[in-house]
Amino acid sequence: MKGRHYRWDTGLRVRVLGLLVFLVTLLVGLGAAFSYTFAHVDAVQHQAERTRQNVLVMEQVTGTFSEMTSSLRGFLLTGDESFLRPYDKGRVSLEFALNKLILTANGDQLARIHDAGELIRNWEAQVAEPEIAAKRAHSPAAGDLVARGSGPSYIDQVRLTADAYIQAESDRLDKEASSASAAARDLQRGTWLGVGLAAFMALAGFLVVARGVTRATDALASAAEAIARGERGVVVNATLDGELQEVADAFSAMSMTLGAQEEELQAQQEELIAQNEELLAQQDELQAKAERLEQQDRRLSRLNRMGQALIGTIEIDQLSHLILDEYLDLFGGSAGVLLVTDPFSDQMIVQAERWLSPRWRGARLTPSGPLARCVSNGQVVTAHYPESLMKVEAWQSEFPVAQETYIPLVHTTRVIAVVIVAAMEPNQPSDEAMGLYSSIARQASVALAAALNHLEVKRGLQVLQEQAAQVEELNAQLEEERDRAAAQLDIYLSIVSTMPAGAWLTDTGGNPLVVNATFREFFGEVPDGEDLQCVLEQMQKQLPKHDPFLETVRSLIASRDGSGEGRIRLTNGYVLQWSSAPVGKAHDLVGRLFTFQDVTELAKLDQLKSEFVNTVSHELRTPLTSIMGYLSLVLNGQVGPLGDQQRDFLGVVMRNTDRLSTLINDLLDVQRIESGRTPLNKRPVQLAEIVRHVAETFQVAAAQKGLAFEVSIPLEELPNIEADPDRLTQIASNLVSNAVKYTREGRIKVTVAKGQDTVNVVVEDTGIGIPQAEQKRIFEKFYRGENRYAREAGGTGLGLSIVKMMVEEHGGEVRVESHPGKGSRFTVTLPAQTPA
Amino acid sequence: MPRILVAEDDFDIARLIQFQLQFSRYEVTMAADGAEALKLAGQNPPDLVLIDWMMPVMDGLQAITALKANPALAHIPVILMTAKAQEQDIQAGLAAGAAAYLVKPFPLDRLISTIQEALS
Repeated sequence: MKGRHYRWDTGLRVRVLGLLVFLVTLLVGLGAAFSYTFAHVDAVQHQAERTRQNVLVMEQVTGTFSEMTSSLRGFLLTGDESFLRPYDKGRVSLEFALNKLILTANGDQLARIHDAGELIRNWEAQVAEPEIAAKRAHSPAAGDLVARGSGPSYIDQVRLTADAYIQAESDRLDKEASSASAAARDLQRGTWLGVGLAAFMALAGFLVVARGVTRATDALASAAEAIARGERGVVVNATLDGELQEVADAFSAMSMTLGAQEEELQAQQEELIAQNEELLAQQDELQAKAERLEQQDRRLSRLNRMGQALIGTIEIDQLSHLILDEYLDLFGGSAGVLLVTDPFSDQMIVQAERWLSPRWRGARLTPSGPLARCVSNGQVVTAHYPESLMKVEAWQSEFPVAQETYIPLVHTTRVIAVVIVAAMEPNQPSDEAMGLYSSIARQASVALAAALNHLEVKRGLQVLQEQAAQVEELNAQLEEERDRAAAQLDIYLSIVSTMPAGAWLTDTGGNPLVVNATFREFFGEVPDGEDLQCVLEQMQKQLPKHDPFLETVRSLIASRDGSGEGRIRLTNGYVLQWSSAPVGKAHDLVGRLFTFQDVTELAKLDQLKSEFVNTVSHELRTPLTSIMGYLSLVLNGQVGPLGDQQRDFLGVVMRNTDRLSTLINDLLDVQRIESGRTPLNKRPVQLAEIVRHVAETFQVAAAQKGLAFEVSIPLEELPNIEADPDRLTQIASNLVSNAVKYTREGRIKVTVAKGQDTVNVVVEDTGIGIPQAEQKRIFEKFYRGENRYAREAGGTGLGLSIVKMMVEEHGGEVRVESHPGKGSRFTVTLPAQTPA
Repeated sequence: MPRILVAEDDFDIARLIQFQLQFSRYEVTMAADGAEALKLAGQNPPDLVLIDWMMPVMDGLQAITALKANPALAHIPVILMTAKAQEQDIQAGLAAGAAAYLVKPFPLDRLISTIQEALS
């Protein structure tokens, strides 16, 4: 059909053309009417704009003129030239504005503008200029000028002219506007009419054309329908216009040939169908073969992959996950777990899992139910769970498990592991799965067994490594401690060799580590590297025979952590103050240090001092004996009667003589204790006995002062104390004597009591007491209280210091508690003798 | 009336003791040093000897030793008086044979009581 031309049918063409011409004419007419109207409206708008401008300019003219008049007035009133500035400016701008108006005006409006111009120019020439000139010439008074000035009348006239102009302009504008509006209304009406006419004509034309076309198409459509229905040889009978008739003819011819072709095609088609069926059969066969091949290939590659993976992995965790994943894949499960049999118990351990509930991870469990069956039979066991009983508690909640498959891993007849595959829907293991199962199971079992063995070995190794690390650490610690000890020893050695005193550092066994130069000065040369015996022999050479010092040294060394001090006198004249103490920390002793301080000079001084004190004391005693003796003869009345006052005064002499005597005794005591040369005559003593004796001695004195005297000694026997009884007597005497001396009224109580590992003497009184501030000082030598009574009561100031020294000589202590005005309590604590 | 031999080199003390002893009804013989005391004791043995330690010519300790060495006089109790108040001195005095030890200065009543004790 390509290349054929269809031409319009003539009748139809004339009708369509006629309609088109009509429509075009109508459109042109409407267009002309529109453009005329729009031009008219434009012109009116333009005119309105110009009018508005003209009105503005005219208003400006009146405004400017008014400014000029007031400017003039200002000048006339003040004579100030600056007031004239608006006036001058106004003249120029007015001229300009009026010219602008003239350009657009005509007729009456032009005349009005001229009038206004004339008025303003007249005002300037006749009023403004002469007045300005007059003002400048100072001829008439300003006030007269202002009054005379006919400015206001000019202003009114100008304004009237301007208003007339403005009014005329507005009127003209209104007229123009109403004519434009009328034109617009006409146009609107014309447009509606044109459009209506065009619509009617178009509709009529359309109906005429359509009727011609539909008649032809109806005929063609019924012919096509006939062909479609299968009628062949149909001819379109209708007589149609030009091209439509040609179409109808072609249609008829096509219908004829279609009939013939159709029959031929049907025959061919039947043949093709037969061929096709044969091909399909062949294809099915091929596909089945391919699938089998593919399956085999998959199985082989999976086996291969698994084999590779299993060989490559000896780590149990990795391996078990590998195996689990493989089984999940193989048996189509969503969740799963691999349990390893514990060779040492019946239990199984969760080794790998997917989607197992967290509380079962790493758990141990004793096989039961399907798991037990699987383990004991070594066969795959499948457990189903109907929907109502879906097993969920073992698996994570996303998995309502409907089926669990228990697959054993057997190695050398033993089930070493079980894989449980859980699925959300019941499924039968595929043939492929069952086919691969045994191959994989073998590989997996071997690998798992190897991995388990490997794990055992690794754990063993780990333990060994840990032990090795511990040993290493211990070694390091030891090394460090050795280093530290060595460093410490170095420090000690350097201290010892540089210290000014004689020093001898031994190790814990007593072997000399170092002996310094001063030590050699005292005891003579000691060769380096000699043993303890050698040093002791060297020392013996300088010591008096049977001096106990060497024995003391030996026992100190043997004691390891004991310490001691004392004084030795060497045969070469040195007097040495020695001391010995362990060196190093309690648990980490380095050794022992002996030091020897040269106190020879000091000892000599001491000697001199004691000799002096002894001599002086003795020399004092002899005259005292006479004084006391003769005094008592006189006081006793053995040489005649005495007056009261004589007796009183001689009593004072007697008391002070007593005091002097006590002082001398106390001085000697202090001297003796301080020199340390009088050893204590120690033996087991019952403190209670001594206190009882002392108390008896003072009872009389107390009674004479009217004091109650109480002695409290427990009935049961108290522990002995190792002490010098004479010193104990002196201690008790001093305390009780003080109590009697410093108590005016009340009572004195002496108590002996057992303490913890001690025996105590307590002397209480209700005396004057000791102020807090003095309590510390009362044990000092020659310290005497500030209290006046205390001073009057007499005393040497040595009593309590002797008590303290003697108590300390016995390893005890003395305490005081006192409140001024209430009394004092002295407590002496002496160590009890521990039963050997 | 017991007889007491007193050896004391200090004149004032000697006079004091003599007075007190006579007052206490003792028969008193005075000596100025140990040697004289020894001589007087030998001539007329007293019931008790009261002797000072520190004396010229022969001191008290020597005199006691001598008295105790003489069998005829060894039984006579001797009281040693001295200003030496130290423990070791007292021990030495008692060791030499003194029956009692009086440390100067002493109250007179103690002198009398010590003498009475030694005589009984």
